[in-house]
Amino acid sequence: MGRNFLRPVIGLTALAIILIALPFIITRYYVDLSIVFFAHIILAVSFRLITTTGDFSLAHVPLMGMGAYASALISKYFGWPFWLALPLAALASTFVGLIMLYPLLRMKAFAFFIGSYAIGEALRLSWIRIGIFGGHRGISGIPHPSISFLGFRTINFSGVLPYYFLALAITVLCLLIIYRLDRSRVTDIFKAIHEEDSLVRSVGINVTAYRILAFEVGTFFAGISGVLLAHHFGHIDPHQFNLTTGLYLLIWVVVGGYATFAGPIIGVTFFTLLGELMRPLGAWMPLVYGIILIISLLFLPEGLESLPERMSPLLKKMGIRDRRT
Amino acid sequence: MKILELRGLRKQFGGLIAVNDVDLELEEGEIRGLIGPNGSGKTTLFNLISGFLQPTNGKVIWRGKDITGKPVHSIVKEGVARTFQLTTLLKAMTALQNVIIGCHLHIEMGLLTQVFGTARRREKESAVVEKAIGLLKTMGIDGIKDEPAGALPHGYQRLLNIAIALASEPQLLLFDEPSTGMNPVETQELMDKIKMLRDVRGITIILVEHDMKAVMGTCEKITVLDFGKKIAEGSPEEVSKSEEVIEAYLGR
Repeated sequence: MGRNFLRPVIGLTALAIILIALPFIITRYYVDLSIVFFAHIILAVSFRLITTTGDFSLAHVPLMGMGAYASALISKYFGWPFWLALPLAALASTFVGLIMLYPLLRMKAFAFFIGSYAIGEALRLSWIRIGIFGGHRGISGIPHPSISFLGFRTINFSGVLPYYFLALAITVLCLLIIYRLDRSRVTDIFKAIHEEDSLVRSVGINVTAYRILAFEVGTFFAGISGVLLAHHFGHIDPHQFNLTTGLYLLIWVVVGGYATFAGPIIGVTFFTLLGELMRPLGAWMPLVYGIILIISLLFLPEGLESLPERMSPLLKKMGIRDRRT
Repeated sequence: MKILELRGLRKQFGGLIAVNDVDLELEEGEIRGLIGPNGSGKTTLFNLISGFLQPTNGKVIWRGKDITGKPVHSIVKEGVARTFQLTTLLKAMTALQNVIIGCHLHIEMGLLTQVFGTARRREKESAVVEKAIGLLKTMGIDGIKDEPAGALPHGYQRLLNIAIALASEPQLLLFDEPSTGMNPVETQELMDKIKMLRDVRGITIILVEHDMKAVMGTCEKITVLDFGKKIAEGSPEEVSKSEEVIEAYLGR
């Protein structure tokens, strides 16, 4: 038992050391990339949280955008500090998500998928049409966050290194909360709703309330992801949150696997690394995404997370001992 | 007071009248049989009582209170539970986990406790696990508690479904053909268990069943439906002698 307990502790400590040391080793470009990577991790993990009830939402990326826009407006026009803008923007996403749910809750499965695209797109187009959101050009000059303690000391996150650590801390916190939720009975109920909706209703569970809960918690974290991106780039526009981004998100999660908490993290990591390796391909990148999606659906329908399990009989045949047995 | 009253209950699907102005009164502690040829509206009637369908007309009165049109989860909260004609289980979860999901109404754990709590959460969890094992014991299937529900033999799955329904602590339990796919011995055991639920736990029962021997041996009173209409009601002897019932089953 001691060893089983120790292994993840050692693993997490090693990971923490790597993540803290990393920005001092790699170049500026890769630090920037890591910050985007963190935001995408939150985005994918929160997306997967909603899918546990069987609802695949294409509105997730526009709702992330809602967080980005809200935070940009709060910071730029009201001049409110980052630590206030962050939760307020996430709540703005949650609120807009709640309005979207009014029609969406009547839909299930494929209807929900398409319905969420339509309503997400409506949100995105409203940013182009409504003046305050800056139309096609979006919003520029979003201030870098700074945190002051009662006006005495101010920590400025304007440099890329401080921002890296801010993003890292927020990501770890978000992941911890979603992980605890994933381990709780609530997620059992989410999964049960996906599998046997009528059985779940018949034991007195309010299915609609639980679908709202999953969607709203997921949307809150999508909003946080958007805030991280907005303050990192300093600029946002409607095209960052279009269907292409939504489809990429879907591919990350499907290829990584959505049965467990780890799947989307594996997916985002895989595609981020792949994106860097394949950078010379440039405009051909979507083709690579498509090919990988098809290969994954054919040979690894449960995602990359199921790879060790799939490999273990093969390894045994080759005479390599399976550590788990 | 009657525990359940149906007053002129009606359900229309377009031109088809699935349940046609049915009146029914149920005493507390009764085991009522509900029979009729295929398509006579028995399952639809269950769906109307349990809230899975909204009636076109008429009322469902539970302990003197109108519960017509309420959502399923509030009707379960009132004390009305049901089982399904088709085996309806969370196949990937273990039998025990299935029953624990069924205990939902009586767990009373806030969301924040579930996500952040530790000591209090663990304490409540173990109480729920104990209760769920107790229910599996009641149905005589506690030996398979850690098996995935989808891998169980059919008879066990049917019993597990009943254990899940019991987890919501119902006062009225609607059984929709519980003995489907069971052999005569298993059916008899099941009927004994259903009687036990009434005798020991005081649960009022409505039983939809195709096995005539089982219905006649278990129920004190039987209601017969044909084409959505109630055509007879009475003791098993009375019903089995009724001209209309024989006609409905055998044709003229």
